[in-house]
Amino acid sequence: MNIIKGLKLIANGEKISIVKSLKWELLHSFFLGAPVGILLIVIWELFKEQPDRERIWISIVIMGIMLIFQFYFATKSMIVSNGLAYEISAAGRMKLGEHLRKLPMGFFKKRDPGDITAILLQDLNNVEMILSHSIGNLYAALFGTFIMSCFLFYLDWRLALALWIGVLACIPFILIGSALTAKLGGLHKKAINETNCRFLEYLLGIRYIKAFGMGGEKFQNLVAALERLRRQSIRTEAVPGPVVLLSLVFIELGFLGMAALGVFYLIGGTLSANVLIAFLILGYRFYEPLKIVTIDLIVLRYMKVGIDRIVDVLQTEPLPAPQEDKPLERYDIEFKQVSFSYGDEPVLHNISFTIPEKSMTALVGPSGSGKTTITSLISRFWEAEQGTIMIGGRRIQDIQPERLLNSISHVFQDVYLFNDTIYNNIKVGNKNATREQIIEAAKKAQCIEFIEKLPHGFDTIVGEGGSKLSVGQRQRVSIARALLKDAPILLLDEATASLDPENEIYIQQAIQELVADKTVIVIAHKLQTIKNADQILVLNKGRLVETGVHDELLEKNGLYASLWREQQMAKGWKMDSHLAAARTVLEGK
Amino acid sequence: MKERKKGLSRLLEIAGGKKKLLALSVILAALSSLLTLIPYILVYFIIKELTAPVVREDLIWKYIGWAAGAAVLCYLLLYASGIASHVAAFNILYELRKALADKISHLPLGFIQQRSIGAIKKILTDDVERIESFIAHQIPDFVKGMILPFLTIVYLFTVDWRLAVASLIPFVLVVILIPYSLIRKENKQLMKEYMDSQEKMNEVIIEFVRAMPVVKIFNQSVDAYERYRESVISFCDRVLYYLKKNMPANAFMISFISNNLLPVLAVGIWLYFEQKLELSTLLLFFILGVGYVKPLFALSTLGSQLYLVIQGVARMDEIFYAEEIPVTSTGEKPRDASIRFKDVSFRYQDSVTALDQVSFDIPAGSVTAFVGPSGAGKSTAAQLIARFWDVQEGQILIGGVDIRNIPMEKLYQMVSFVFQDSFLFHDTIYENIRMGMNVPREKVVAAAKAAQCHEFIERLPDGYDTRIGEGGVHLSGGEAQRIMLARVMLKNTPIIVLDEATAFADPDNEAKIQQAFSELMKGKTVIVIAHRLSTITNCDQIIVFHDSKVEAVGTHDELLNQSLLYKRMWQAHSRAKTFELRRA
Repeated sequence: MNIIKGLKLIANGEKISIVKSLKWELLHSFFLGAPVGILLIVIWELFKEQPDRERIWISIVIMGIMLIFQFYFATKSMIVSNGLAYEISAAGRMKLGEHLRKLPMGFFKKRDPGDITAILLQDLNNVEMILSHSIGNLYAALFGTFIMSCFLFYLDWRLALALWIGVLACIPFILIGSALTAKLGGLHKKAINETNCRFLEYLLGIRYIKAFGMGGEKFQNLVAALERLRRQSIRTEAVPGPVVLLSLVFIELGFLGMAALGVFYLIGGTLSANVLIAFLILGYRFYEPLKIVTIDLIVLRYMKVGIDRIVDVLQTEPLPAPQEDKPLERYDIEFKQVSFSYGDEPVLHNISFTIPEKSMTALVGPSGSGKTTITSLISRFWEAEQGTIMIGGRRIQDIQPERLLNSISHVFQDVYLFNDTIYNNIKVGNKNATREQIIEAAKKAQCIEFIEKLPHGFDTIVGEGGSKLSVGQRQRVSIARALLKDAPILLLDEATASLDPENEIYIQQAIQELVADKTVIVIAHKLQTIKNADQILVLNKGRLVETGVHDELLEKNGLYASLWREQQMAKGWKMDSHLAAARTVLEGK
Repeated sequence: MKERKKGLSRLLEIAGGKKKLLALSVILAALSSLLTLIPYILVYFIIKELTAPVVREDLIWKYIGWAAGAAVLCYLLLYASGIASHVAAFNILYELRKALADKISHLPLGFIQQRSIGAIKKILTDDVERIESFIAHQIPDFVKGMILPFLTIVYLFTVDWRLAVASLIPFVLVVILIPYSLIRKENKQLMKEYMDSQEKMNEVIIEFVRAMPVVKIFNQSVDAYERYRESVISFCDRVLYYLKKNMPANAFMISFISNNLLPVLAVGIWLYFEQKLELSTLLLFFILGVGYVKPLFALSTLGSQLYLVIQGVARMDEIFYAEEIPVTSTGEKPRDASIRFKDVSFRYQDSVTALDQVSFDIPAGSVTAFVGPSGAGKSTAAQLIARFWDVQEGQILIGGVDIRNIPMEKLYQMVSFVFQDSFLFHDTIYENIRMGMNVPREKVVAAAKAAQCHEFIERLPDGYDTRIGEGGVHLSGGEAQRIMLARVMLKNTPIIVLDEATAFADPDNEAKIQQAFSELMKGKTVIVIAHRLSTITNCDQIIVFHDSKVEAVGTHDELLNQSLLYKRMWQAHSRAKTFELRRA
């Protein structure tokens, strides 16, 4: 997708008047170039036998008037073209924002939020900056050069041609130079990445590096990478340099070639001195805008990378949603031969199960067995490739995405809170809740205990993402939120409780409150916790290997039973004192 | 203590490291500027010839030849100047980074612990990188920007001082008016509003993206989008308003800079008609005297760019000037692996008190647990044993010797630590265990076996020679932990500091990690930072931390009687352990 198309896609739908900007630029370029024309008239007069003084002075006055016009049009055109740049980027941001809103959750889980933010901020900032400067330069170059060319050709087509040959001669160098820059730029980036990696390794591992006395060796590795970066950086500058400069040399030589040609014609009598002098004066000006555009082209190439990223997001398909929004009557869940791969990696094979309404089902199994994937598919973060997932007897594809998400509460390990008060963060669960309902939710989620110790209580601001609260506190706020939402389906990761061993008991009580009267799916690590589940689904490597209740599964003596035994052993583990053991031995004697 | 330079002078100090190269670059840039002038002057001579009564053609050809030569030479010198300044810059960057990495290795481990690794890495990579722009671009650009106009105006003055003055008029006008417009309160206000609006929009955008998952789940995406949209539009409006107000000044500047043709023309024509000015001189001013001030205005953006660079350098200097771990050694040798804290008080840099007059004794070969609410000081105390920081008051003694008097290498030979963040190097598993220790392969394998990793290592494609990291394998949390344990077992130090939470990092592997712990602890002085109290009931000694102090010391049974805090923690833990989720 080239730049123009990309820009159109980004700005589409908003009223962007590129034509308006063109109009002002045209006028501005005219008045910008006019003085030169007047200059020529003056020079022409000066070369006559009897220069008409009056005419010259009138021309100068006209030039003065034109200066005022130029100032006016410069202002107008800069406002419009700069404004255009910012309008395009604002349109782009809104379009992206609207599109992001509609994308499936999986999109956000897959990408680092930093990347997406970078697109919305940096990439569009670059578009702004570049457009606001480049537009003006580009137009000035095009129009100014065009008008001047016409005039020069009229004066003497041979010399004008000579000037153009200079321009054309430098094009191959520009192309080669830019290709070289791109290639070396790639190598340079690699060297930078390698250095960054080594630095990261050095910093992350510094305590081990020091503890194991490997300072010398690891340091040398880092230094070697730095040396490679140094050399690559120099090469990236040194190699394309001559090529780019050569192109500029050719422009200069083009001008001088034209001068030489002019002298030649002068001597041969086919050219008058005036014309030659006119060319000498105007010739340098001719190249000015072109030099600026060359630089701009390189910068524009840079912008293309950003535009590609933006277009990539815009072209990601949102989830197909049904037209109608029919309410759900039941909240039982069914998986029918569901398979799912994450990219190339197969994650789930042919999974089928039924979860009755208001029951509690546990998903257990070694990590990587697919437990979290199942909950993600129920929430339609991703779309299963094969098989059907049904809620209340309807395929989830036939449920409005908003309604689906409204019916599900999530309590997982990653909690994101807004940079707002605790009160408002809980309120997110139900924006129509009353104050009593919010406080009640906080109570049930065992939050009151820490909220009353905070200086501003419920009105304490939690920082971005909730950074001012501890892990356990964030968990409880998120549970309060889910309590307030009171959705009929609950997806829960039981490990959240163990994130904060000190407050484990509180979080457990909060979770207990939450599971009342809902269809619950618990991802469990501690089998102890889910002994009482109505149904336990045992997964291994993406397959459903056992189902049943706790006692049945123990009897089966399969994977579940072995996991249970292992955990019981681990529970009983203690750190043994050596001295006590020794003492016991002595005392026992 | 040497006076620390700041700001621009610090930048220049850094640049001074490669004074000669930079001087060369500057001189070449100046010469190149001079040479850009030559073709113009030669064209003037050519025009002079062409308007003379007798045209000496051979002279004109000579001039053209010289002009061509000057053009080529000019760019050659420009290239050389650029290379010189870039080589200087890249060399300086190399040395700065090397020095920073070296400095970091001498800093207390706690320094890095406290800051975000990402932030430090950014300083080493991005902030240092920006210095390149200053050295390789801004310094030469500054020189070129100043010299060319200067040389031009000097030359013009030698040709005809009256026209030279005329050509300067607009420039002088602009120079007077710009500072005036910058200082004007209204402008500053506008600028501030613009920047504030941009910052606000940035914040809203960041939150919009980060909160998107939550927002979608709670069906607030429409609201969130409205907020987002509002701030985008508001910023756009503000920018357009700012442009409207600001552009006239900008346009004024640009118009006049590109158009000192008018005064030159007016004065020139007058002089030509009334004062017998030579035509060729007039023409010279048309060629050279117009627009020569432009390069100076390219310098105006220099200021804001410089600001960014200086900020980066300030951050970098925080590392450069941080206090290193003082290395003293009295040659005393610790007599055993016992540990003693004597009236230890410790404050972090942001003056948060972490430990307050803490004292306790740990006999050699015993197993001691540190427990307490988070923030109470247990982790800090454990880290101090490995000298992550130096204490402000009191002493920490190992085998009777103050740890500040033990050389760091010797200290590390006595103390190993196992913390939650497992880190493996981009190297083979074998090397990740061996860590440069001079031991035979059998010992490495034995350590791996004891740490319960031998089994999974053998299942890997290249076994012990499998590489970790990019292009290699990624181990799970629990597997990485066990490699770390193998390392520590191989090192076999008499004192081990252990964070018990590491066992739970990978619930699938909990049992295996516990087995590895048990092996590891045999015969050593062990300090455990404990979270799950049921694991430490058999320890020789439990130290209860609370609010930066030691609240109680004793065995499990003793503490149940003595310490209310311990009793409460124990009860909470016991209940949590037996918790069963019920369908209400």
